[in-house]
Amino acid sequence: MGSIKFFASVLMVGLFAIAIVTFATQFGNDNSSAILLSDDEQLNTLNNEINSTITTWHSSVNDTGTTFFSTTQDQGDQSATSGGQFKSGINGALSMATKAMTSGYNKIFGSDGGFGIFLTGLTGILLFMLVAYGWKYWKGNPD
Amino acid sequence: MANVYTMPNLTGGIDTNIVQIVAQVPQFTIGLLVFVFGVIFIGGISTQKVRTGYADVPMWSVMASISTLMIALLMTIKAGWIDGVTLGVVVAVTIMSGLWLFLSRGRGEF
Repeated sequence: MGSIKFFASVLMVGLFAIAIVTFATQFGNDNSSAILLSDDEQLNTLNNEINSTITTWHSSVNDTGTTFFSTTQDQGDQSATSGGQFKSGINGALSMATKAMTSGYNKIFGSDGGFGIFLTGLTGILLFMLVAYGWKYWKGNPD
Repeated sequence: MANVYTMPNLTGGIDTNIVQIVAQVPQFTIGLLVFVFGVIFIGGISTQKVRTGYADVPMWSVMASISTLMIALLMTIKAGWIDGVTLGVVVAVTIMSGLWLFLSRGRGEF
């Protein structure tokens, strides 16, 4: 997966999370449901945080877009070397994706760390496989 | 006749029956949602695999999650069918399925 593909995927994760949470919340409001997703503090916080990130990102992208057309350079000026125009929004997209991931994980597995036992075992297996593959690469088949 | 649980009042309408069933057996809602998810997930994977030789597992995960979410949302209209925790977990599973789908795409596919 290339960097552009990864960035687009991360962005889509955030937008998908917004779409799902907003739809579920609005469904409850529109139909006067007895059970409302807006009563769920964790997912409600996630929705607000991602919306805030999107709002900030929107203005940031607008400002960055303006610099492409408004900036002028005279003869002899040093060209911009920071590449700041191309960094706009990356932190925002990563933030949205990680927030969605964290909230989803905590909602499914809980936040008390009890599920960490499973993850520790899984990580151990993955590390073992990594070492085994490394050994296979250098010394041949580990079986 | 002895029953495992108190039988619902069958003259109160289907929705009342289901509410009474859920009151007696709270796992009914979760079992129903898991069943719907499993049928769409496994059925979709199997059918696609047979027809095309390739199964897009993350895509079917999202399809099954969204279908389950739709049914879960309908259950929220009347009190007693589903609780807030279950609805939150269904939403979280849907978000995680989307995360799996979008991060599993290779070059040139979306």
